[in-house]
Order: sequence, then structure tokens, then C-alpha cells
Amino acid sequence: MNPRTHVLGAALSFLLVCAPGSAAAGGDGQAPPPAAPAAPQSGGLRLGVQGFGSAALSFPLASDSFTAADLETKPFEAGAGAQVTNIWRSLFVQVAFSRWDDVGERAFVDSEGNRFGLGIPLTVKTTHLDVSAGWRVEQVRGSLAARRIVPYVGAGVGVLQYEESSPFALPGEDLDDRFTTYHAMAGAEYWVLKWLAVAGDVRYRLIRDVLGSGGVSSALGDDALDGTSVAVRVLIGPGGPLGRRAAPPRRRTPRQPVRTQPGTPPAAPPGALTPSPQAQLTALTLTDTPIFVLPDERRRPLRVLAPHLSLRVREDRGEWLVVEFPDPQWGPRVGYVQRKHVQLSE
Amino acid sequence: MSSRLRLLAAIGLAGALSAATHHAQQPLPPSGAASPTREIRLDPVTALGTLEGRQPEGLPVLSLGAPGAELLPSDVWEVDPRTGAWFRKGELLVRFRPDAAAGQRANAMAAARANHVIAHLPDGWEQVAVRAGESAEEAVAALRQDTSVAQVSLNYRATTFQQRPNDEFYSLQWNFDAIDLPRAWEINPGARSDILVAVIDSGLNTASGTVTLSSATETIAVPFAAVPDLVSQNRIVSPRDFVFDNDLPLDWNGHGTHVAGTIGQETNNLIGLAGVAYNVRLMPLKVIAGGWDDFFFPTNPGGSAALIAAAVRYAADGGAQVINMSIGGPGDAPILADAIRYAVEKGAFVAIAAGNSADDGNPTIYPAAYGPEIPGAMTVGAVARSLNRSDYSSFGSYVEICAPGGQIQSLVDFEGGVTQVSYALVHSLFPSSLPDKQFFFSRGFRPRFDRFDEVPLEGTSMAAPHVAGIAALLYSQGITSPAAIEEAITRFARPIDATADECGAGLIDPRRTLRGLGLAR
Repeated sequence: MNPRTHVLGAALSFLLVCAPGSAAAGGDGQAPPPAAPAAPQSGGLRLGVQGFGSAALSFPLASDSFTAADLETKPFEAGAGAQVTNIWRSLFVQVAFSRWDDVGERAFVDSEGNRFGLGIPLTVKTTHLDVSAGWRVEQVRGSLAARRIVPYVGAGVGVLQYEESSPFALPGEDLDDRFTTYHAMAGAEYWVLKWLAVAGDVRYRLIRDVLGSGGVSSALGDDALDGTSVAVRVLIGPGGPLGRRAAPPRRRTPRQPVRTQPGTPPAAPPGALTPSPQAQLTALTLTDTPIFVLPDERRRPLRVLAPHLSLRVREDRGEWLVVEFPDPQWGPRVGYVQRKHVQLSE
Repeated sequence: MSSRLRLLAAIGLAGALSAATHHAQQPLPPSGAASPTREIRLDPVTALGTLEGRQPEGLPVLSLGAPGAELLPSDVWEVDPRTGAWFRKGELLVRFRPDAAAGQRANAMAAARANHVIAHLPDGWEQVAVRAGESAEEAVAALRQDTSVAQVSLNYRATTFQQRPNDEFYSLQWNFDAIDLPRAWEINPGARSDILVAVIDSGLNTASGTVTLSSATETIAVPFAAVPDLVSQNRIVSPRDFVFDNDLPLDWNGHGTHVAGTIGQETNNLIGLAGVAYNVRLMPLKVIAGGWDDFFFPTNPGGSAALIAAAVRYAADGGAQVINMSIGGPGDAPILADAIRYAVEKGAFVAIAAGNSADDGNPTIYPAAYGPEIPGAMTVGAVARSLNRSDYSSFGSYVEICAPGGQIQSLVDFEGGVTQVSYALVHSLFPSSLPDKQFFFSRGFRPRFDRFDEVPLEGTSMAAPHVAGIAALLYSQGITSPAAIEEAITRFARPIDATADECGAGLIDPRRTLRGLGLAR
């Protein structure tokens, strides 16, 4: 494929993946926004869009050639990009731009591998544009600490703009060309705030056709610019795992008939309270279950519910659940019960 | 191996020599009998020989500068010993402080013995001459101490930084343009002066004087002079005449002079011609007896393998980084291979002429044939101006590279030959064969080796010094291993329309070789 086609493709991909993300941005905070901006995604994940800056240390396999050309063998790569997460389930798409340049020295390498520096500056510039797709593993259940960490893997294709120039070159002797690259990556995001994360990843790039046909790389038998880079990224943007309510655990329990405590009035009729979307869950009390007006067990409970009572869950707040319960005095009410006293089911 | 000077008998030169034929018949020098005695008298001051008919009109005595330095009229320009820069003799440039009174200025000028303002220049500068016989440097030093002076300097000379040499007859040197040498000079202008190139050949006049030859019947004075535009102060290192066993390797042939000139002719000095590695120092080693040596001293040992081997080892032991051997013959002398191997092991790259015997049955030539066996020694064939193999250039599997050697149609074919400074034809080069020498000598012709000219020659002898000079550039650029120099020259050779047997890897390409390798290109 023509390198120009790759660039156009990458740019289009970038636009395509950014467009829905920008529309879907907005979920944040531990309290739901006044108006829900996007429909919940499958699995309870919402579309996210983040921009990032990155700093990477590269480890090219052709380090002998880099040494021979007096170039930094672990070049520092700076970059930026954007990603759209949870496009479908945990699928994400990322577009990343990165660049390094260095000034070395032209040299001659003889057949025994001896290097002779020639005192002529050699400037090498590489610019990568990578388009990746992958899978992020967000913890939708569990503790807050667990939900901060989002591992991911991905792979993709990219374009490398490779420039090599030196003084005393005649037309055509310097190199300025584009090459197709392929990469795979793995890493993890750590969400510090609901809109800020730090990520670290390892990326392996497969880059052929650049080295090996000339230069010291040819003399030393290096035919690929492949290499690993270790990057740190700072992501900013909405849609992180802290910006959404945690989903309940996926535990199925057999449906049991709701049994109220003798002498208590029947449960409120349907429609007495408008259930939220999550209120389809029910909590079955396992033991005598105190119910509070606030999620604080030191308070005096409103009531103590009998075991085997089925309650409609309005909201999951981690260790606490907001449930509807039949108050013998006031009729249907809402209160907090501790998760440990109930068994959840859909 | 001598270059292929095509002897055109006396045609065209008979007129030039007619004056000689008016002389009474002279007794022939001994031929095969006892040689005349040979006494060398050196001039107390080394004066350069003259470039016949080529010096600009009225050019005064030239100053001898450092190696590679310009030669400039000494009554106009002087060298600042502190910086080595040239300045206008007796002149300085001064700018006084704006608040300096006229009296202060006059006092400062008087104290510095600067008595004449040549010109008032913009921004308050004044071009000033010091009194006759006074030193401009001292005047500058005195003015620097004066509080009324803001700035002062000598009237220094600047030159352009063009890499295409400004030598008067550079336009004759198609051989350098053919290998893109001006662009190579942009990368490395003429190598460094700490690079030493040994020229194992017919010698090089490094001094001026007279050789007095005395036989039973007559005494002949043969004048010689240091080669202009090539020999300068501190440029010649450990010269040696292995033929006559002394330290004055007088060239009585012109071949060694021509070869040394291709390697190191001083360049960008407005006169003469250019050389490939014009800043290097030279070690001329005479192992070949010139035609006139053979004429006067037929029993000399010049050209013997033992002598040449000794010279190669001498060059290596003397620190030569590059050795040029534009010599050879059909005799297989392994002692030469051993000597060359020794030199390479000591760090010297050796350029060897392939030979000019293609038209004569193309026999294998030595030491050329040893080149491929020794990494760090290269056998050099010749190409003509067309960049095809020169007709005479020996060919075979031992030819490793080609360089311009030219192909001439006449004695003065500047278009086809490789032009370099050597002896003026009518004074020393023309009667090339021994019978010719005898003929003209008997009619009063006397050779002299103090008249120089631009001389076009052809031969692999002319090609090899291109490679030697480029090896010096490479050494200077950073490739300090002879084997690596050979590899680099081979790798970057330019393919030409010639077989591998004719030109090995192709035509030498100094610019690409000096530029070396990038990461991917």
C-alpha cells in the first residue's frame, strides 16, 4: 500500500474514532449528572475519550548500527495522541504520534566490524503515527483501588516518517521516506482522578525496509528498525472508570418468593416509587438486617428487617446498597443496608 | 616503471634544439666505461625552480610558507608569526575612541611610528601605514596600549573558501574533476599536515644546487632546483636516495616529481596546479634511476628489487601512513611482497601502479600482482578521460581499482594526459631513450633540472598517486587502518564501463568514500 494511503487512512481513523467520543463525553462524578449524556454501554461501560502526552524510551534492536553511527542507543521519544475507549464493550482505539531525533556521526565500518568515525554530522529523525485497537479491562465491580487500574493490550499499524541527512550530500543521497510499521502493545492505566490517569506500556514495533540496504546497518547486517519502547503516558479526559457507578457483582441467585415479616404491611404497590435503571436488582436479606437513613452503621437503624425479605435495589454504593423497604409505619421507604447482610440477584 | 612518454623523435623539437647543434661536438660521456665522478653543491638558500613561461608577469620572489600555505609576493604581504595569517605589509587598521582629541590621536600614531593615513574608512576606521622599515606588528602592539585607541589590527588578508582550486592551470586537471575531487575537498580540504606520504620513485628535488660531473675528458655542471609549488619549508620528511645512497633524492627523470605533484602539489595559491592531498608532508625516496642517471652512471643499482624493498621498509619505519609505488616490472620478486606486507602491518596504505603493458602482451606486473594478496595494498589501473580503461593499462585479476591515468596523443596533449609539474621538456625530459640522449648530448645538449613546466603524462603511474592522495585524505578523515582504507575505496568505487579485470571495483570516488556511511544510507 502506498504510504500516503496509510497516512490518509490513519487520519480518517482518527476522525472517525474521535467523532462519537466527543459526543459521548460527559459522564463524571460519583453522582449521576443532571441529564445522562450517553446511553449506558454493554456491560455498564460508557464511551470515553482521552488525550495524552507520552514520553518513551526506545530500545532498537539495531543497537550496533546506532552505536556505529554514534546515535543514542536508547533514544528518547516524545509524543501525544488520543484514545476512545469502550467503543464496543472494552474495545478502544488509539492514535499516537511520537518522534525522536538525534545527531550522530557518519562512519565507515569495515568487514571486521571496526568503526571509523568520519567527523561528519548525521541527523536522524523519526516520526511515528500509530493507530491501534485493543481491549481494556476495566474493573466494573470490586473496590475503588481495583477500579483505578485498567490493564490493556492492543495492536495496530502505523506510518514511520524516517529522515536521515548529512552535510555534503548530493540530491537523493539523504533519506526522507515513509514506511509502514506494525506494533503490539500492553500496559495499564492508573486513574488518579476521574479525568486524569497515568499509563505505562510496552510497545514492540515491527519496522522493515528502512535499514539493511545501505549505511552502517548494511555493513553490520541490521536489516530492521524493530524495537521495543517503554512509554509513560498522562491521559486527560472523561470516561475513566472512576467517573461511573460500579456495576453489581454478577451473581445469580434462585428467585425466591418475597416473604415479609409477620405483622408488617404489604410491600408498596408497583409504581409507588419510580425505580431507577439499576433497581431491577433485588436484595434478599440473609439475616436480621438493620436499615439506616444514611450509610453509617453507628446510627440508630430505621428498622431491622427480617431474614428472607426481598428488597428492590435502587443503587449500589459499594459496601452499601440503597434499597426500598416496606416501613410498617410509613409504608414504602428508602434506606441503606449493608451489602454483607443481603444476597443480590437480578 | 616509467610513464608512457611517447617519444616523437625529434619532430617538433628539432627547432628548439637547433641551437645545441651549433655547438662543437662534445666528447660523449662514458657509456659502459667508468662513470664520471659526481659532486653535489647545494645553494646556501633553497630557491625554487622556475615554472617556465607560466609565472605571471613581474611576479616577485615568492615567500616560502608553511606546508600548504600560499606563496605571495614578499614585498606586499607578510606572515603574522603569531597567527600564521597573511597581512598587508606595513599596514594596520585603527579606530580611535570618539572622545579622543586630535592631539591624543597624533601622539598615539607617533608613538607607534605610524605616520601615514592611507585612507579614512567608514565607522571611524583608518587605514594606516607605518614608517618604512618599521614593524606593523609592533605598531599594533603599541596602539593597543594607548587609551585613545578603541580597536586596532593588522590589515589581514582573507581568501575565498571555494573548494575548486584557484591554481592558475587547474583547468588542465580534468582528472580531478573526473573523480569529483573538488566536492571531496569540501569534506576534507587536502588532508592534514601530520599525514606523511612516501613516494617511492625516481626522486624529488628538495633543494637547489649544482651537480658537477667530472670525467677524464670534461666537467659538466648540472643545475637543479627545489620543485616550485611542491617543496616548501618543513614539508619534506626524511628524503632518501637509495640509488646513490644519500639524503638528496634528485630526480633526473621527472617521473617522481610528477607523481609527487599529483599527491601533494600545493593548491589554492593562484599558481601552477593542484594536488589531491595538498597539505600532507612528503617523503621522497629515490629507487629508480632517471634516464640521465643511467646516461651518466650506467652501473647504478636503481630499480633493483632489493633497493625498492629497502625503501618500502624505510618508509614504514619512518612513519609514512601512505606509500605510493608507481613502479614495477614483469619480474616476480617476493621480497617486495614481504616489504609491502611489512609496511601495511606498520600502518601504511600502499598504492601500486598496475603497469602499462596491456599493449605488450599484458604480462603480469609486480609488485602490482601482490596487491590483492595484501589487504591495505591496492593495485591501481588507469582510465582515460573517457573513463574507459586506458589502452595501455595492464589488466588482470590483480587490478583492484582505477583512477585517471590519461591517454595522450602527443607530448603536449593536455586534453588527454594527466598534467602535473615536472621538468620542462626541452631541458631534461625530451631525449628519453639512451640513444637519443647520446645523440643530443654529442651535439651539445646538456640537461638541467631547475626548469619546470606543466607536463601531461599518461600511465598507471599517474593513476596510483590519485589513490595514494585519497588514502591520505581518508587517513586524515579518520580511517586509520590500511585494510579499512582499501575496503572503503572499494566499497564506494563508481561503476564504469569496464570489466573487473580491467578496473576492479571501478573508478575511485573520493567524495562518497570520504562521506562514508549513515545509518540507513
